[in-house]
Amino acid sequence: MIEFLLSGPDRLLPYLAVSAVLFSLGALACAIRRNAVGYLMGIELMLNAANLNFIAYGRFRTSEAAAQGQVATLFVIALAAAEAAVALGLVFAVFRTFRDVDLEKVRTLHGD
Amino acid sequence: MNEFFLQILTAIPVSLRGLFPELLIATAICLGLILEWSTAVQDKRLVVWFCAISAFAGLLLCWVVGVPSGVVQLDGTFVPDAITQFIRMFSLGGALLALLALNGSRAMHGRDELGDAALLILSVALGAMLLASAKHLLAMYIGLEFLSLSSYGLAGFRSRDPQASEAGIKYVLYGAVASAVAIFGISHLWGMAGTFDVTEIGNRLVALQTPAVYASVALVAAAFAFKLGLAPFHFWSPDVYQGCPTVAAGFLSTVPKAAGFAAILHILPDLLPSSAAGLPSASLVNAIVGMAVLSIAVGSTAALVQKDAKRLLAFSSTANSGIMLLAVSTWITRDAVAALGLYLLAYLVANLGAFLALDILSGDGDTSLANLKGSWKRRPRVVVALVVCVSSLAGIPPLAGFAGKWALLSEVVRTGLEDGFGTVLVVGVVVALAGSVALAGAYLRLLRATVVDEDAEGSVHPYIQPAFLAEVPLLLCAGASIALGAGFPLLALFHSCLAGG
Amino acid sequence: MDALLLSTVIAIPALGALASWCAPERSDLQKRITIGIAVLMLVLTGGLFWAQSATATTGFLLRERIPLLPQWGVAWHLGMDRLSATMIFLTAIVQFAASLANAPKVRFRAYHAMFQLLFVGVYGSFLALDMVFFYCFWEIMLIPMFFLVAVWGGDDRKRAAVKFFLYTMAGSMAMLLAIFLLNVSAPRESVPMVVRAEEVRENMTTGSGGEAILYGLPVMTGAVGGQQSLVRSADIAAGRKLPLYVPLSRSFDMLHWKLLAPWWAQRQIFGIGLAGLCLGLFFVAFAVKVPSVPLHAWLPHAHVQAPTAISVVLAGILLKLGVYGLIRVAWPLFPGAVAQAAWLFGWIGAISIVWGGLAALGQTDLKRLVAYSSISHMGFCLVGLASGTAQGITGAMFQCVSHGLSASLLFLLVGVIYERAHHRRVDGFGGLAQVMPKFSALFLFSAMVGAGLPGLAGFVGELGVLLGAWSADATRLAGFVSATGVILSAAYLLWMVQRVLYGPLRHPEQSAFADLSRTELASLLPLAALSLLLGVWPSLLQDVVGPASASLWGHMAWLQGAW
Repeated sequence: MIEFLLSGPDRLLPYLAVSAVLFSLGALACAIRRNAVGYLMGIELMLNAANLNFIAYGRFRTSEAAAQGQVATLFVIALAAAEAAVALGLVFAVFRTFRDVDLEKVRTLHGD
Repeated sequence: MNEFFLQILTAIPVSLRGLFPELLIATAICLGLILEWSTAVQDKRLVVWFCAISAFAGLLLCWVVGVPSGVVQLDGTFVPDAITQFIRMFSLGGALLALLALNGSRAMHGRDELGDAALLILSVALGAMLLASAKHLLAMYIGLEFLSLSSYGLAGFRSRDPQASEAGIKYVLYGAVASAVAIFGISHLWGMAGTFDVTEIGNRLVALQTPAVYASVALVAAAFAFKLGLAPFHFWSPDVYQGCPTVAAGFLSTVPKAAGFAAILHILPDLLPSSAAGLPSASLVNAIVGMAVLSIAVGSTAALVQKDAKRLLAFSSTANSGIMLLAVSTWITRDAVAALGLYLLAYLVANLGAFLALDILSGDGDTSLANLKGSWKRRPRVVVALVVCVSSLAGIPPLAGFAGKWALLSEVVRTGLEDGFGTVLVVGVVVALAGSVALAGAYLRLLRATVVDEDAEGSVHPYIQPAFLAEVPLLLCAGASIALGAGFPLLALFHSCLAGG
Repeated sequence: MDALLLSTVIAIPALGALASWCAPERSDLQKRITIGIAVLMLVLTGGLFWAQSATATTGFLLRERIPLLPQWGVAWHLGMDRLSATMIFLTAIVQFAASLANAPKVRFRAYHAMFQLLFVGVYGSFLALDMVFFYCFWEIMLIPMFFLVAVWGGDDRKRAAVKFFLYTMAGSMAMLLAIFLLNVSAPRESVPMVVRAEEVRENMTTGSGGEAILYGLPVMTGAVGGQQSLVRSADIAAGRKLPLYVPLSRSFDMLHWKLLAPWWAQRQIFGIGLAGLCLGLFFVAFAVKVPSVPLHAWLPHAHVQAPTAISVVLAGILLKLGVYGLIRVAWPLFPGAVAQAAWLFGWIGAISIVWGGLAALGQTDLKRLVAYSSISHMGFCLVGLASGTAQGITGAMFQCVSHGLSASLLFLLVGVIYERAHHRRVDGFGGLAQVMPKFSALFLFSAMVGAGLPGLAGFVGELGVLLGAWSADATRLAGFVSATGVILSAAYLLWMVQRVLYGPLRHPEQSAFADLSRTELASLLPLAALSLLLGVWPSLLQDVVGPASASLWGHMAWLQGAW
């Protein structure tokens, strides 16, 4: 069944490829970015890659499954927003005490 | 009066009845928020008391409602069973102890974040309860996120403390990556199977055994490994535990772990393939035991060189997670789950007790071993409780930790020898025993600092008024550590509950 | 009346610990409680020992069993036979001596509470017959010892305490693994196992219908796989020759595991023989305590850094726990493996003797010297056990008692002199015989006991061990090497005595040293008197432990012959 979805003129694979690329870019952003807000952008990229997955799989299935996929997407959007809120709140707290959001500089706790 | 309550009860839809405790706690959080907004700074303890009373009420409600007999709630998203009941009482009990300690904690005295902390503790408990009853991947993700977001808040709620802010930001950034990885894996699993229900996914997908399925399950497993603090995803826990306030660290090191293990117990048998005889493939067991062995090794050796008590306990909790993972690697025989329950109980009281004792002894929040020297002379009763809790963690008989370790490791050895798993489980037990010796060395460093070492010449410790209220949960934990040493009958109780009692 | 008597033996120090904790801080009450408990234990265990020596049975005189978790076979099972009675009496004697030796300035309730708690573990280990409780009591001793050494010890006490703790715990983990493996390998359903007729005769009780019961199991006869019928105890007592079986299944009972010895000999785990593997694990656990080279490194540090009374307890009793464990647990369970490895154990014992002796020769610290001499003397016990002869095993048990007495004497005396001079350097003394005549007499006496002078207790034990080792093929050469240990011990002990006591008074300020006080004499004289008594009248002890070792030898020989 999955092979059917992956072959044929109207294919699922390009969507999955795009979402995989988005996920990788998001992970890369998290690995490279020193700015906390940039890091959060990477996380958003990863979450939206998952969203793209949900929509894409749903597109190529029955309407009930598509509805499930879209509901899941809405869930993930809401949860991503909540996560961003918490994360940005903590970024703000860090900014208040460290005067900087550079993650390299935020290092009082290092293991001794 | 009874009719009034009966009317209310009958008005609630059937599907929600099994979720009474969760509903109670959710209502309590909302009411607590209102209470928190309306109280002045000096009255914040009211909020803490309110949360403690609701936690206690929730505990009573769990007891009264009993083990939900698998009645499907909310279209199969939340399916409470015996494991859920255990986690409910576990989380609420831990929350109650942490809230009592919060009220008496010197480090939190008179601060306006006291109310926030109390509500966040209750939220973490609620998230744990939700996570432990999910058999539906999206519901599991919601529970996981609820738990995680509350935990991030609980780590960093002390907004003016640089250490707490750093702990919080590190926790949220790493944790958010883990959550994103989890939902990515879940999206692929849903896409390939067409359903979120874990049993159905097992039926449709796992038989295929394609690399794509394995990769998705591995992504979800990695996210859980992060949450549980298993190596190689354990790097966040020392920094987070060191930075966040001690009572919160104690709570965060115990309750989310139990919930995570409960979730694994729910989804593992379905998501990972078993042969016709119900046994897993050797490489899978090797992988799980390998991760457990790595966690034990890394946790116990790193704990030996730490100079801060909370970091030491963080690495020890990594090692303990590894030992608990060995129970999972037996492919979850009923005896292994019962033993895991006893181990988790012992771990809860011992670890939480140790953190609470550190909170009282450190006074201003500095828990480095140098600062703890000479505590024996200042607070002997607290140090005795600390010795009891730490000895329980080390597995000294006749304390709770010994009972838990004995039950768990003997069950793993039995499974390894009898059920055809090969040498790998016995190797895991050997590593667990060796790790226990190393961990005992680490705990001895902690005991040396608090009991044996004397204060450095000329160091000044401001006289801290003894707070009796803070000692109550600590003494309860120490007493439970001693009482649970005879906890073997609990194993029979857990076994019968799991069998469908 | 004798129900729960053994539990009382364990409960009294526990209550003493509680009483010490509740007594007011820094008062003499704690010291009085400790000494009172010691006297009480002395009376109690003395009575038990006397009762045991008066009976002719070689089995368990007292046994109490309260099933706790029947589905796992865990029970509160305590038992006293000849060996345990000897050991707990020795424990009480050493406890008494150590209680008197507690320095007057130690008046912390924590010290006395930990002191009593230590003895709970010791008595429990000697009396426990259930593997779970044996392990529990074994481990209970760790934390009190750690705190006793780490808080009240000498200069380098913290490292010494940590070393002791980690070495012992590592050994205990090996024992725990062995217990797990043995428990899983035990037969799941009830299996009839052949038992020795003498064993049944010595240990059986009679049920209500006249049938014989061995350790709570019905004794049966008949062909294997065929019809099994119960045997009457009268038949066994009359000496009828019958093949005897008992049904055995999974439990943690030490006695049942002893009966399962033929089963263990045949099992394998992943291709390794179970008996050999578990014997190795148990040996590691007990060899840490004995201590035998190469697991002895904790002992010199712990002995030197511990306060005097704790050194006495450590040398007098805790080391004997290792030997007791070997005799009670390791040897009866795996006789075939023991016979195969006897040469190795003999050599390990011989190396311990020679190593300890040579190291003691080179020491300049009195306490370290005595510590290494402990390693050397305990090596004799291991050689005796390795020989596998009744004489060797009796010699090992006797050596336990005699070393318990002599080591306690030596450590107490070194403590006395440290109290006076505040140092322990051998070359810092000289000519003390002129200043402290009573001390010198006892010091020389103790050195002679340690050296094995005939007429004193040390000689009997070492003679038994050497004769036993010589008569067994596997340990003949090792026994020969061990005999040189006698020369070595005479050498370093005489050297020590000569340097400290005789010759001119090297440091004139030491002429002001006070001789032994009444308390010190009270702690030393009973030990010295017992050493002399056992030396001139060894049958007092030999008659008690001899039948026990003969029974063990019989069990091992039967199993080695049959399997």
